[in-house]
Formats: sequence, C-alpha cells, structure tokens
Amino acid sequence: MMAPVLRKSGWMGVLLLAALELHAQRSLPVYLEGEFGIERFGDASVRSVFPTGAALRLGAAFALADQGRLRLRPQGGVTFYGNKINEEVTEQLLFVKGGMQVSYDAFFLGRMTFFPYLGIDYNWVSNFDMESYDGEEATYSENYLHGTGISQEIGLRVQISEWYVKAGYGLFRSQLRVRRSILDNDLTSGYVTPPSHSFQFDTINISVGFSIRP
Amino acid sequence: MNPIYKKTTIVLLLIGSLAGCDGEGTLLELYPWQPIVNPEIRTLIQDNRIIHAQFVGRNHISGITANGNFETPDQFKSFDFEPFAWQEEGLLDFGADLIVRAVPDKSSISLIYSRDNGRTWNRYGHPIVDEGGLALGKISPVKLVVGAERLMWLLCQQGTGAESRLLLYRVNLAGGTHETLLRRRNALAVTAAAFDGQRGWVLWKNPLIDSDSVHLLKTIDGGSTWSEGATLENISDPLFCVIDDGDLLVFGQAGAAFHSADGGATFQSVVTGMGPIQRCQAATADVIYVLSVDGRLGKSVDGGFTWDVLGAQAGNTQVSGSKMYFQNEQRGIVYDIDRMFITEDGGEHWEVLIYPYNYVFE
Repeated sequence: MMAPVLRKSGWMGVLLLAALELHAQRSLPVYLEGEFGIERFGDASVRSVFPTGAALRLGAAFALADQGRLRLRPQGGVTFYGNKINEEVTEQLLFVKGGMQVSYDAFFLGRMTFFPYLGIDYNWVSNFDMESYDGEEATYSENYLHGTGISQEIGLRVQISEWYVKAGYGLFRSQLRVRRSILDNDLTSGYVTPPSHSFQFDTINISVGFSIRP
Repeated sequence: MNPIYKKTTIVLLLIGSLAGCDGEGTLLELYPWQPIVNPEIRTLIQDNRIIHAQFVGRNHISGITANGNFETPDQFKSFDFEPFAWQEEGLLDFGADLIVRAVPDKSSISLIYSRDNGRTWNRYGHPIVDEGGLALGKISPVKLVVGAERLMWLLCQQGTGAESRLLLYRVNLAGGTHETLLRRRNALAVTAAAFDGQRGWVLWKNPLIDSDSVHLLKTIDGGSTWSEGATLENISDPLFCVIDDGDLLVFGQAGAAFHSADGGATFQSVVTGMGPIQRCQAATADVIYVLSVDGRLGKSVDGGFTWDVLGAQAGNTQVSGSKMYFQNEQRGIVYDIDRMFITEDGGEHWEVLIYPYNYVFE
C-alpha cells in the first residue's frame, strides 16, 4: 500500500529538484516553500467519518513577472485522514497530490504581505486500513476505494518574513472505484453495488508554512 | 526556545491532534448499494413457500403460496398478497385461470376447482366414477391434465396386480359433463398427456410381465379409438412431455431420455447430459426447456434432439429451481419454494426476483 505513495512522492521530489536546477541555470528568483496544516471536509457525511486531516505541501515558487510579484509554484504533497475503528485498526484516507499554484503579491499591511492564490492538483486517492496488533509492525490492507481526479483550490496567504499562514477552499469531486472483491461479496449477499461512485471531497484548509530562498 | 519556533511547535501539535480525531463509520459505508430483491418478499418465503407461479401479462406474474396468493405487475418491485389457507390435498394441475384438484373421496374421486387463483373452490357436482365401476375396487387419481376451455383428462388406477385396471376420464367443467375415454384391464396407469381436444397419450405398465417397460397408447380422435404405440424398456416413473401433435419426449428417472417424431410409434434415445429430469416445457416446437432433479436448467433448440445445460447465473447466484414457466421461448421464470429467477433472452441472462438473502429475513 505504501509503495505507490512513496513512488508518487519520489517523482514529486524529482520535479522539485529539477525546478531548483532550472532556477540555478536561468537565475530566476525562486523560493523553496513548505507548509503543514489541517483540512476539513465540507460534505457532512464524509466529515462524519474523517473529521480532520493533516496536509503537507512542498514546492518551489518562481517569481516571474511584475517585479517578481507573480509566483508560479510547482508543488506536491499529501493529505492524510485517519479514523480509528478499534484499538488495532485505523481506516485511512490518503490523497497524494501533484500540481501547480499561482499566487500574487497583492498588497501589504505593515510586515504582512497578502498573496491571493489559485491552485490545481492531480490527486491519487486511496482508502485503506492500517492494522497493528500487539505492537507488531503495521500492515496495510488493499484499497477499499481508490481513484483519481483534479482538484482546484482558492485562498489567501498572509506572509511575515519567511513564515506564512494560508487559508483556502478546495474543490474536488472524485470518482472512486470499489475493490472488485467487495462488489463480488455484495452480489453474493444480495446487493447491487455500482463499480464507482462520485465522492465530494471539498475542503477548507488552514496551513502554516515557510518560504525561503535557498 | 525562539518564540517563532515555539509557536510553530504549538501549531504542529494542534494540527496533529486535530488530524487524529476519530469519526463514525467508514467511508465504504457511504458507498451506495441497493438490495437486489425487494425485502418485502419475505411475506412469500418466510414461514411460507411458493407453490405455483406464472406469467399473466408481459411483466405481470401471479402465483400461489402456502399462505395465500400474490400478483406483481413489476417483477416484485411491488406486489399484492392476499392471505388464505392453501389446501394441500389431492392431485393438482394448473391451467389458464383454472386450478383443479382430484381428491380421493371414499372409494371414488372428487374434482374441486378454483377460478380465482385458489381463493375459493367449487366442487364438480357429478360423480365421475359410476357405481358399477366402484364395485371393482377403490380408484386412485394418477395424473390430472388441465387443458384449454376447462377441459381436462383424469388418469386413474383401480386395484393392483392381476386385478388392476387403468381408467381415463375426460371432464368438461364448462359443460358440466364427463365421460370415460379408456378402460384397460391388467394395466398400471403411469401418466397421460394431451395436446388438444383430439390427440392424447397414455403410458401404462403391465403389472404381470414387465415391470420396467412402459407402453404407450395413442388417440387422435378425442379418445374414441386408441392405438398401440412404442414400448420403452428400462424406464420407471417417466416424465412425459408433448412438444406438438407428433413430437414427444419421455424422460426416465435414471436419466434416460427418448424422443419420438411420429406421435409415439417409435422413439430414439437422446442425451440431455443432465441426469433425471423433473420438469419439461416446450416453449415452441423447437425450443424446449427442462429442469433436472438437481435444479439445473437445460435447453434444446431443435425440438429435443440435442441439449445444452445452461450454466445460468443471476449475479453470483446459481439459477436453480424445481418448477418453471416460460411465457415464450425468450421469457420465463424458474422458481422453487423460496426463490424465483427470470430471463428475458432465452436463458442467456437472468435476474433474481425472489431469493432468501439474509436481509430479507431481518
């Protein structure tokens, strides 16, 4: 289960390093940015299962136009939701993301600089269980649900020096496919289950982050 | 600690604790699903059992259970159930809008019939067996065949051994008349079948000579005259199926099957590959369905010469049953006391209408 996540994260790291290399060659102003925050689903039914999630993003922001006020940030990250089923089993919902964020240094008040931003990400969504019995190493189940999709995000970032706080709203509707064995078991039990279903994963999110020039 | 790092640590701890909040249920529980059968069908199979079902319209199925009758216009998405106590006694056959029972009555037989799907019953008012016939011993019904226009054949057995006698009656419920079509001494009645008002067949055994051989009698003039047909060897308690006025099928309990293309004068062996057959229905002269004793469905598209066993699945459920009703060569139901399946394409694809899934009983 974790191998695909690591593989996807690895590719994002390569992209970021490539972006930094590009910066070195062309001498574009570039900032290494990272943020960590919480997300909360807008849909009440999904939120009842996963009340809050943790999000991590990393990216390299290129200051491009208008005296470097327009910033383009290739980015990657993960969002993780956990729901403890019992002492041994925790259901997990994992979003692995890769995409782009555009922000603009709109105005400042005192030491605070305000960056409205727009983001678009491609998402890999996985829903599975993590099981750990008697302190043994955790094991991961096959995905119950999985899928992909493109999400958009709009928000505002307030930056002081190298630190910033960011709040946004993400729009994401993903068509998740259910595991084949679940379909078969349902059928045997007398239920018809569609092979895929659209989940609304809209979120509000708040993050803290850093933006530094390497 | 630097204040900025201290604040960052507090924020991270807060985020971590919020992300660990536990929810209720699982995401999979939000995934949609739908029961395959209407759970309300528990009325038909819980402490109850399906006795008979048939099409009475394109999607309209009506039938009888031990506790009452039912009708559905939409394949059990909705249905009406009218409770009444089903009578178990006697020999039973279902015709169009007619159910008839042949019930032993002292030494004779009474015919009772229902024209309202078993709700109310009437008794055929005339004694079928005359007093002279009764003097030869008790008469038992063997086979009841309900045909069109409320015309029926009743095959009976009187006595045993050397004194045994086969009797065949024709009863016209509409006209309130009956007549004896056939009397044969030293004969054990096995079964009978009729194609129309004129053509009919009787299978019988000689109780004194060959207990494993079955002989055939045939009439083409409504029972006025009878002619001897073929003798089938080594076949016991056969199932007799009339395809049309000349083609017949006979299935033995041991799995042997025979086809006649000349109205029963001669038979040739055919192989169904299904073992003993308990039901046979000719949807057309070419398309014939059979149900094996173990519930499998077979189909012939060449009038019964060759057979295919249909590996019928409805979802993950094996289609099986002890009875069937095909409205035409494409549309039919296979059912048992607690299940019912429907096909609309001649048995290629099936859907479950009634099945004892766990949720039905919850």
